[in-house]
Amino acid sequence: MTAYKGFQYEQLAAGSWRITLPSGLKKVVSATDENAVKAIIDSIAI
Amino acid sequence: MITIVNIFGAEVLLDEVSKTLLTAESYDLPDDFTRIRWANSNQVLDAITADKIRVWVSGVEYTSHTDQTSILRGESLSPTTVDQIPISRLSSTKTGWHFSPRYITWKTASYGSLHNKKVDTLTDYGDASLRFWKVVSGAWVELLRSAYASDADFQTALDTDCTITTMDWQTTYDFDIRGAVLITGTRPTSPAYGYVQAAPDLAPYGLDVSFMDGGIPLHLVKDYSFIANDGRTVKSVVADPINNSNKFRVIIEHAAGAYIDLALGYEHYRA
Repeated sequence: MTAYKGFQYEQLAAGSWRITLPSGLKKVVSATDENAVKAIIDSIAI
Repeated sequence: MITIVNIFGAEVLLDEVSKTLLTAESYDLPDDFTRIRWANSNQVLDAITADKIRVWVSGVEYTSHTDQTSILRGESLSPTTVDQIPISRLSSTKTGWHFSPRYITWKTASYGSLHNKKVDTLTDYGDASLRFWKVVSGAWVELLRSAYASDADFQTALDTDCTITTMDWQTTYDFDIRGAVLITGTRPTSPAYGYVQAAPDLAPYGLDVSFMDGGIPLHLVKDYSFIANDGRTVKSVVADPINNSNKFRVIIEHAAGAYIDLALGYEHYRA
């Protein structure tokens, strides 16, 4: 589990990542690699 | 009060309380004792195993070797009834938290219908809001009160255009949630469905979390129904005012002009 900007993520399988939101809720997303996961989190502009 | 009797046949030193227990002597342990260290622990264990020591707590004798050993070590016993039947008391949440359900009531397509009051002051809790939407070319378009001259004008617009009503709930405190119950009023005559979406603000990034996929068919339940969704365990939710990932949105999809009375009870534990 890697922490990044209040979120956490871990790889489940190739192309599949589980992101833990700051609230603790979790969501599995498709992403090619770790940089793509970080890009998702970076894109959140709230 | 813990009372022990030495029936081992020899003196035993209780060095925790500086007490030499003579053969056949009964002794009440101090209320604040933490653990009895015997001068010869093997001797004591042997005595327990051989039923040479009897142990009472508050006048109730404990005869199992496990309980006797636990008591003399100052360990907590499993809670029991007065007749020593074990009580099962599994905890569902964090120490010091309590079960504190919240109920929020509203009516679809009805401006000002939200009811979400604190118990102590009977004032609005301030952490829930009602929003109204119409669908234009497949896209949700919010109907805003500010676009109309009066409450009556806004309600007229809702009467004709509103086909989705959402109720957002986002606490400023952490909680453990177990589930929720939905109470319905009079059954809608046209199809209407209820969904729950967590972290709706993160939906554009694919990070929203869906519940009730498929939708609860509100038009298929009786008038004044009670629909329970019990997760059977809890999920911790941390307050997140920055990304709003602790926001829960109830989405009701309904026919225009369908006024459905609803109440949602969030079954959660909190400090």
